Amino acid sequence: MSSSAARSANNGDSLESQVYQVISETFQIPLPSIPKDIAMGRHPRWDSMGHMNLIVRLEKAFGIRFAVPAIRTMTDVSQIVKAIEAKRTKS
Amino acid sequence: MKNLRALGAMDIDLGREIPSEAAGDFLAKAYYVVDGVENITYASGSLRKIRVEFHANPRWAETETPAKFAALAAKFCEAYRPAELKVIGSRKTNKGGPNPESALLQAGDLVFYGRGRLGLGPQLTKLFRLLDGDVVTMSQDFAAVPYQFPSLIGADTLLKCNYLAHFPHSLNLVVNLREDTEGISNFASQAHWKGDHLDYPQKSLGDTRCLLSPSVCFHWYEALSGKPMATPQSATAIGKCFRYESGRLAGLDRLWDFSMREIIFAGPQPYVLGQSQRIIGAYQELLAKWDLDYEIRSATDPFFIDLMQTQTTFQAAFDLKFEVQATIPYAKSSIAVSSFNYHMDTLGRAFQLADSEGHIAHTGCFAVGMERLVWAFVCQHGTDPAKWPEGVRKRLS
Repeated sequence: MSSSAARSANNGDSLESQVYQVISETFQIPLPSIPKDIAMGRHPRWDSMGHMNLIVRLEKAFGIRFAVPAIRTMTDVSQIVKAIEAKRTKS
Repeated sequence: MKNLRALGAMDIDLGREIPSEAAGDFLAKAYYVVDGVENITYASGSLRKIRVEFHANPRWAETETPAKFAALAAKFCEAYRPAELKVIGSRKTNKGGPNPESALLQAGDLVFYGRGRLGLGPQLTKLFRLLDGDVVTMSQDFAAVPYQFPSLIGADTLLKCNYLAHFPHSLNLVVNLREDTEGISNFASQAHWKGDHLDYPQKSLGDTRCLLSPSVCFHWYEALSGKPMATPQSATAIGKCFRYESGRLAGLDRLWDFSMREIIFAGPQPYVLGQSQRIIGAYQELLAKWDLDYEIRSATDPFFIDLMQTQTTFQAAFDLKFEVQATIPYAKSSIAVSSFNYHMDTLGRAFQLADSEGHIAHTGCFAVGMERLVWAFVCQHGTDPAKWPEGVRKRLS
C-alpha cells in the first residue's frame, strides 16, 4: 500500500476515500478539486493513457492485481471500489 | 529465410516458466536482450529454458548474458496478464500445400537481398497490385480520400504519439553525413564493408531528424494536426513501413521493410467505431473472394518490455486491436495479414485533432500488410496461377 493510501487506511478512511486519494496522486489533482463524478474520459488527465497508470497505482496501493476484464469496467470511482471489494472477497 | 551461420549457442535457464499462451511474445522480446542473436528456441518440453544461437558478434561468451535473459523473463512474467482470446470471424476450407519459398526463388518471383529484405518478381507483383486494387475499391465505400506519404517521418511526429517510447526496439533512424567537407572526405575514404556491416568514422554522422516510417496513418494525423477538423474524415494510402525485428526477420512473412495499405478514420467516437465494425464485414467479403482461410482474433502490439504492463494490458482490456490471421498450411500456423485498430482519443489528443467546438477526435485504422497477404495467398493457393481462384486468375490474365 502506498504511504498516503496506507495513512488513509490507518485513519479508518472508507475504501472510496482511499480510491480518491490514489486518483489525486496519479493525476496530480488536489483532493478537494476532484469532481465526485470523475470518470475516464470525463477529466482530461484520466484519458486512455492515464487509465493504466491509475490501475498500476491502485494495484500497488491495495496490494492486489486486477484481471484484464475488470480493468475495462473500472472507469469510475464506484466501479473501482466494486472491483477492489470483489478482489478482497476472493482472497 | 536466414543467411547467417550460427557461431555458438548457449542454453539458458530463465529461472521461471513463461506462460504457454505468451511463449511467442516472450521470444520476440528476447531477441533484443543482447546483439548478435541468430535464433532463439525453447528447450524441448520446457518453457523455462531457451537455447540462444549467436552469429557474428561473440557476445555469447559473456558471463552476464544468462542473467540478462533471466531478468527479461522476470520482468515479462511480472508484466504479463492473461487475456481472453476473442475470435470474431473465421473461414476454414482446410487447404494444404508445400512451402512455396524455394519455388518462388527459383522462378525469380521472389528475390532475396538480405534477411528481411526481399523483392517481388513479375507474377507476385501482379498479384500484389490486384489484391491492393481490391482493397482500394473497398475503401471507396468508406469515402476514403487517397493520399501519398513520404517514407521518412519526422522524429518530432513519432515523439508526439509516443512511438519512440512504445517501440524503441524496432526503430530505424535516418542519419546523413554532417555538412563538413573534411568529414565527408574521411567517410568516403574509410567506409568499407566488414562482412556483415558498414564500417566508417562515427563522428562524421549528422543529427537524427527523421526516421523511416513505421506506419502509414501517423502522416495523415500530422497533416490534419492543429486545424479544426470537418468531421468525420477518412483517408487511404499505401506506403513502405520499416520495423527492425532483429533475429526474427525472415522471408515475406517478416520483412524489415514492407508495404502497408491503410484505411484511416478520424471523427466522433460513434463514427469511428461504426466504420471499424463495418470494415470488418467488408474485408471478410474480400477474403472470401480471394478464397483465403483465416481467423479474426483479438491481439496486442509488440510494445517494448518497459511498457508492456500498461500498454499491452490496456489494448487487451478495451478490445483495441483485432488481427486477421491467415492460415499458413505448410507450417500448420498462421500469420497476421491485416489488423483493425481503434486508438480511442489517444492520437486525437497527441495530434490535436478536434472539431471547431474543440471535441477531440477518436481515430482508428484498418491496415493490410501487403507482402504478407501475398505470402498467405501463395501458401494457400500455390505458385501456379492456373490453380488460383477464378476471380483472381481471370483478372490477372
